[in-house]
Amino acid sequence: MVFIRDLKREFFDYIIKQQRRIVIFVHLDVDSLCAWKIFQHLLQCEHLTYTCIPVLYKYDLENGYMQHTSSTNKDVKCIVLINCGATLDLYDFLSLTNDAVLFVLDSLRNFDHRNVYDAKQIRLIVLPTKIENEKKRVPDYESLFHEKYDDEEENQENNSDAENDDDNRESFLDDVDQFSEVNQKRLKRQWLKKRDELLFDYYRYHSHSYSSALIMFDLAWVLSKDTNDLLWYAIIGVTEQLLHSRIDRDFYMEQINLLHTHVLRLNHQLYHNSTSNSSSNDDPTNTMKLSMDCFNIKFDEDVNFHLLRHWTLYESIKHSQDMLLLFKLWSSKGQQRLKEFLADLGIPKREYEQYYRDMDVSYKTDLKKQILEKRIQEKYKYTTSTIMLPTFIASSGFSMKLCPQDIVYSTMATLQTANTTSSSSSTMVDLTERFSLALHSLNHQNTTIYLNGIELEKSYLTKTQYLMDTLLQSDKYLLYDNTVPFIQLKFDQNMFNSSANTSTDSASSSCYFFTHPYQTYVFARKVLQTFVCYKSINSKTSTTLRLPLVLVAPFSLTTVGNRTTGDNQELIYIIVGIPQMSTHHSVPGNYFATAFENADQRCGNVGRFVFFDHSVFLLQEQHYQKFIDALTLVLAK
Amino acid sequence: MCKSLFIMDIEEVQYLSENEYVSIVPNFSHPVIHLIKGSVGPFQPTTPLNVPLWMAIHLKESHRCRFICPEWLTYDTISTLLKAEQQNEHFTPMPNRFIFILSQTIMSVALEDIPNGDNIRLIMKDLWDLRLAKLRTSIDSLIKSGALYAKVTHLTTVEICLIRNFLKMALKQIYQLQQVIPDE
Repeated sequence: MVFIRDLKREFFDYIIKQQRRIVIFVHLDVDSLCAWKIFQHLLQCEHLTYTCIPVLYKYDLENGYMQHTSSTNKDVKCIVLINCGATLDLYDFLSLTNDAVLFVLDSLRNFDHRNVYDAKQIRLIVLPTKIENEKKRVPDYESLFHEKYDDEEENQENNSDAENDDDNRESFLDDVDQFSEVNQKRLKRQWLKKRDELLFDYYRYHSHSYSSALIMFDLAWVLSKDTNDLLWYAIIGVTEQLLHSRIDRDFYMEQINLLHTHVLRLNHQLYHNSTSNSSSNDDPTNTMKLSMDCFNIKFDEDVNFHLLRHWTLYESIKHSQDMLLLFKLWSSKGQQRLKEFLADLGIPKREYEQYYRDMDVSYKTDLKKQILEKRIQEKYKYTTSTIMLPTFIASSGFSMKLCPQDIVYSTMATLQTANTTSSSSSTMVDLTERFSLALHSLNHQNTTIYLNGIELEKSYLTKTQYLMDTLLQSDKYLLYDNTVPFIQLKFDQNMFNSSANTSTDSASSSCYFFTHPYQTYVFARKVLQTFVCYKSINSKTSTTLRLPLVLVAPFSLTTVGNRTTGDNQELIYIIVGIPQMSTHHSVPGNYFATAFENADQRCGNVGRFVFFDHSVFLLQEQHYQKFIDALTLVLAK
Repeated sequence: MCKSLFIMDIEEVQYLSENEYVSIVPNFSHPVIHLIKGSVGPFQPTTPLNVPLWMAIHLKESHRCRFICPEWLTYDTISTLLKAEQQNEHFTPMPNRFIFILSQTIMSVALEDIPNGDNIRLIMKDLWDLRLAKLRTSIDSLIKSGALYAKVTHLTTVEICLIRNFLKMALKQIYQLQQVIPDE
C-alpha cells in the first residue's frame, strides 16, 4: 500500500526493525525543520543512527542520494524525505535501483501520479485520518494506466504504417480486419485523450495539505512519546503554513483545532488550577500545582501585529501586512489615520513609541479589549479576523513568553540570510550552516539565536518596505496593460538604488536578496495585494484587480568565462508567479507551475526548475524575453 | 592542580546517589533484567516498581515511564523536616543520605511528576542553608576551642564532602602553625 495507514507499524516499527542507518533529506523551510526536530527526538529515543541532509534545490537531493546509496555504501535501507519530492517522479529522478524504501512526507500537493501507482519502493505519509480524501484526489489507476493501450502504443504505430503500404493489395477479409484496427485506434486515441485531460486537470492547481510537523506529532502521539516540546514544534509548523500564505485561514483553523485537543490533554493542570486558585490560597498543600518552570502552552486569541513583542507598537502595526492594507499606510493620510486609531484605543504617543515590553501594563492588558470594541471596529472597518489570530503561547518560568509567529519569522530570516562571504562553490556548506543555525534557534531554551533572527527579520522588513515604496511611487518596474494577461514586476540590478551605494554594491546586494522560494513568493503576494489595493482607490478599474502577478528579480550573478572578451557576468533571474487575488481571503491553488512548464517547453526548455515547487524557477537573462512571450501565449488561452 | 584519586568529591557523590531506588510506572512490558547489584523486576504497564535512579532517568528521557513522587519529597514531609531542624540545635536525621542531590536530580528530569515543585524547592533551599549555617558555627567552635575532635551526627554525604577537604587542610595548617610557636 503506497499510502501508509498505520504510522507506527508501517513506518516507525519498520525503521526500527531494519536497525540500519537512516538517511533523511530535509527541505529548508520552517515546517520541515519542525518536523525534523520531532523526528530527530523520536530517533534519539530509540538510539537509531541517522544522517540528515538539508536540501533546497533538486540537485541537492540528487547528489545526496547518489552519495549515500553508492556501491560502497550499500547498507542504507530507509530514506525519508521531508517536504521535498512528492511532486517529482521519484523513480525516474533518483533512478531507484536498490531495495531501499523511500518514505515521502510532503505537504505540497499534487503527488506525482507515478509515485502513487508505479512504485514498490515509495511510501507516502499523510495524516492517517485523511487517507480517503488523499486517495480520491488522485485519478483512478484504471483511467491512467491501461495494459494494452499504454504498452502497445509503439507497436501499433509501426503496424499501422505497414498496413498503409499494403492497402491496395488487400482482399475483402483484410478490409474487415482493417476496420476493427481502425476502431481500436480510435478507442485508443479516445482513451489517451481522456487520460491527458484527467492529468491536465489533476496537475493544474498546486496547493498545500496538512503540515508535516503535524503529521510527525501524530506519529509521536501514537508512540506515546508526545510532550509539550514536540507539540510546540507542531504548532510552529502549522503557523508557518498560514504566515507564508500556503494555506488559508479555514484550513489553519482546522489544524489548530486538532492541536488544541493535544494542548488541553498535555496542559490540563493549568486550566484546573486557575479555577481552584482562590479557594486554596492559604493551603498550598491541597493544590496539585505544577512547578512554574515546566514548559506549558496555552491557547490565546492573539493580536496579530508583526513581531509585536520585539518592537514598538507603532512600528509593528506599520509593518503588518493587514494593517498596511487597512489603513493604506503608504500615504501620509493613512499614517494620520493610524495615529487616530491609536488615539481611539486610548494609547498615548509616548507609550506606542516605546518598546512593547516597556509599555505600561494597563495599556497592554486593555489593548485587546479595546481593539475588539464594536465602535472602533465599525469606524475603521476591520473585522476581528484581520487583527486577531487564534494561536498558542508558550511560557516557561520567568523567561519571555514565546509566540509561534515570531519564531517563524525569526527562523525564516535565519534561513534566508546568506553569509556574505559565500561563493557559489560553497553553497552546500552555507546551506548546512544556515540549517543548523535555524535548528538551534527553534530550541526554546536558547534565545540568543532567536533574537538574532528577529533582528535580521527587522532589517529584511525595512528593505522590503523600501522596495514597495519605490514600486508605488514610480511605475518603472511594473509592466501591465490590457494586452498582457498578467502584471509583470521586474526588478533589475538597481533595485536598491540609493545614492550612497555604488553600482557594483547595489548589484551584489540586490542579487542575493531573494534566496529562498518561499520568501520570494510571500514578497510577491504582498506586492500584489498592496498594488491591487492602491489601484482600487485611484482608478477604480476592476481589470487590474483580477490579474495575476509575475515577479522577476535578480537571483545571482555568475561569472562565465569567455574566450574572446574575458570574464562575462551572467545574470540569473528568479521568477515567481502569483495567481490573482480573490475577493474572499482564501488561498487559491497555484496554476503557475503548469503554466511555467508549458511556456518553458515552447521556449525549448531554458528554464531551470531547481526548486521543488515549480511556481518558482530560475531563468537566464538572455532567454527572458522569449519566455515572457511564451508565457503570454499560454496564459491568454 | 590535579585532583587526588582518593578524595571523594561532589561528582562522585552525585554518581553514587544515582544508585538509590525510586519508584516509577513504566508504559512498556519487559521481563526481569538481571544487573550486578540485583534484579529489576518484570516491567508491566501501569504497575509501579522500584528501579535505580540511573535507569529511571534513562527511561524517563525516552518517554517510557513516569516518576512517582518519593514519600520524602512531598511538601508535608519536607516542611515538617524544616520545622524540626529549626527547633533543634543539633542536626536532625534526614530521611535519605543523598536527599539534597536526589531532589535536584529528580526535579531536573521529572518536574511535571512532582506536585508543588516550586514550594518544595524553596523549602529545600531553606533546609540546606540552615544546616550549612549550623555546620559553619560548629566548625568555628571546634577551631576556637582547640579541641582535637568533635562529634557530629546526622550529616548528609554532600555536607561531609563539602567540608572534608577544607577542614583537613585548615586543621593541618593550624597544627603546623602551632608547631612553630616557640614554647615559652
